[in-house]
Amino acid sequence: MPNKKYYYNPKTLSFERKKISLSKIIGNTFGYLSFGALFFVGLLVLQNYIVETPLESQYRMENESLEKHKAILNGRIQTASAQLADLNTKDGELYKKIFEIPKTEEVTHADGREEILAASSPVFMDWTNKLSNQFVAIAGKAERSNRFFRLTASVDKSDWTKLQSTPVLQPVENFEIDQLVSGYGIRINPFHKGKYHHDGVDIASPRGASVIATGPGKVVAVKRSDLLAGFGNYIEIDHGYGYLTRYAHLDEINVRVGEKVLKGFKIGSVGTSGGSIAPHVHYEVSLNGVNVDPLQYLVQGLDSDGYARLFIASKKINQSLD
Amino acid sequence: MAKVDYIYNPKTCRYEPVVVNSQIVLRRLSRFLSISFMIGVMALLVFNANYPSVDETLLISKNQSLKNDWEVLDKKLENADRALVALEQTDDHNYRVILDLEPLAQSVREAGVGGREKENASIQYLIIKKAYEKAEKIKNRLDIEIQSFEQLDKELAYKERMWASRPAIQPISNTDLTYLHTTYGMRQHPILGYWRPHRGLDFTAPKGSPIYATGDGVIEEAHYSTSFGNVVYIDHNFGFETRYAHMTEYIVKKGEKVKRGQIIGYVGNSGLSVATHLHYEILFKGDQINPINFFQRDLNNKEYEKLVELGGIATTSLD
Repeated sequence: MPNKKYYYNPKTLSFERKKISLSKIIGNTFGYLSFGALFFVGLLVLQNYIVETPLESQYRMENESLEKHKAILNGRIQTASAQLADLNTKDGELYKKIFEIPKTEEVTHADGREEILAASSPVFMDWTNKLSNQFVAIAGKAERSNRFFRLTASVDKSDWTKLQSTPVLQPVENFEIDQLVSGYGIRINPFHKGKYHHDGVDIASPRGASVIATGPGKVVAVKRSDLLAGFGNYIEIDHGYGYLTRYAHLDEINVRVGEKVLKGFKIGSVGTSGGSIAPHVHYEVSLNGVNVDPLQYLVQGLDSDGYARLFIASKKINQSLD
Repeated sequence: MAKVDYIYNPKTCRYEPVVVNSQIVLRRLSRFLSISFMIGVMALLVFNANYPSVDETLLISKNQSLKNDWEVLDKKLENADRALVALEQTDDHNYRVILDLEPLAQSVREAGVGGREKENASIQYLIIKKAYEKAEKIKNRLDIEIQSFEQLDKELAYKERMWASRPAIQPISNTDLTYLHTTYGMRQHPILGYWRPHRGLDFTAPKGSPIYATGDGVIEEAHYSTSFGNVVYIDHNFGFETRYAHMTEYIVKKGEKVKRGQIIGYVGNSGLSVATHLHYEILFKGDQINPINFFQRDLNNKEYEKLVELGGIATTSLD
């Protein structure tokens, strides 16, 4: 309205021009904006309700599908997990029945951990000082002895042949660490379940797998026996230097007495002859006529981790296979 | 408003009060609303130009959270797979080797896919399809592993029966045993006086010492005979049979089941015998074998063999 507005001022008793105040402008703007916002929201909701973009329908379908199949898959996974848990229990029971000890996870190397010292403590300072002194001393010594060894290091020829003759292989081809199922020492007899001294290690292997000579030597005994007790079919190899190895419970024997064999040479195949409950090689090492723990000779091709695992496996006081 | 607005009317040359009627109010209101509406529309246009629609935003965030859930499901599947592989490996590497069973071929383990393939074909989303395929494979392998474990269980139960049946202990306790005659084979009979094979071992023990069954089995025979006196035969199945002769009395009946270590009778001197002792025989598939191999003392196998050889040479026995 172009018409100017006036108001009656009772003090001056005259009509005065009405001024446009700032507060009125702000009020008006606020009014417009707030109603504008209301309209905006309303329109947005309406648009959202009416208009369905292709992207929306795509996502809507995918989400529905994901939601629906999630429930189904979850159900299947739960069933599978339950079955797995069940199998794990059975696995434990089977293991217990076969080896007469509970199945345990392998021991970690946390056993020998030292007590932790606070870095600020005088004990710790002393300790680090001592260690660094020791290091300096050892480094000096190493330098001297290195020079010494460079000049004098050599292996005597007889020692060299002895080293080469030592039976250091594992008695089966493609040996894997989990094949060693029972070690040397007091074990549980599988037949009468009593404790007895197990004079060798048991290496479980499928029937017919190759048994190999663990070092070069001469076959000194080949015995065959149908008796369901004792060693069954077995071979003895003399490696010289007092070393004798014995391979028992074999199926076939491929060598004769007096035959010379090389390291890794196939001498027979795995069986379960004699007093044995499962196909395996019962492997013994004797040094100067006395049986020793074969573990210390089963070293070729193993790194320190592998040997540690083998060591742990062989120290389980479980049931042997013969 | 208490104050009345005036307007200068040039026609009348007077200030006239502004009359506010409903028409004016309506006009003002519609003006206000239409301007507000225009502002709203403009804001919407600006919003649409710069931002995705509300539903899109909501759906995308929902989609994200669902995909996270699916990742969790996938992790679960992977974990199940890993656990299953570990089980399969112990099965093949340990149990099947030890129980003398063939390891399951990979083709067997992965066989039997199907059944739900049709259902899967209708799903167009790769993430769902792949997860279903994984779950399906795991399920099939699980089914096979469950069957495998059943087989292992059965086999082990059979073998355990076999191991429990094998004669493996001394029939006389070491605390009662006074002497073990290792004679096995030809020898001069102490009563009959002529050479006759001795097909068992003689355990000398005080009269009335308990005699133990050396393995699980069924009493095949418990009677008196002129040569063996009071004698018990145990059938251990799996080809083994044991005989316990010259008892003072037996305390088992024919057909009775016995466990290893169960007392079946007491040492005596009945039948064709010159001294109180137990005559113990083991038969495998109908033939006597030397029992010395079938009990454990503090001897290793090598020492046993020596004993067996010596037993073949010795020439005395008690019956």
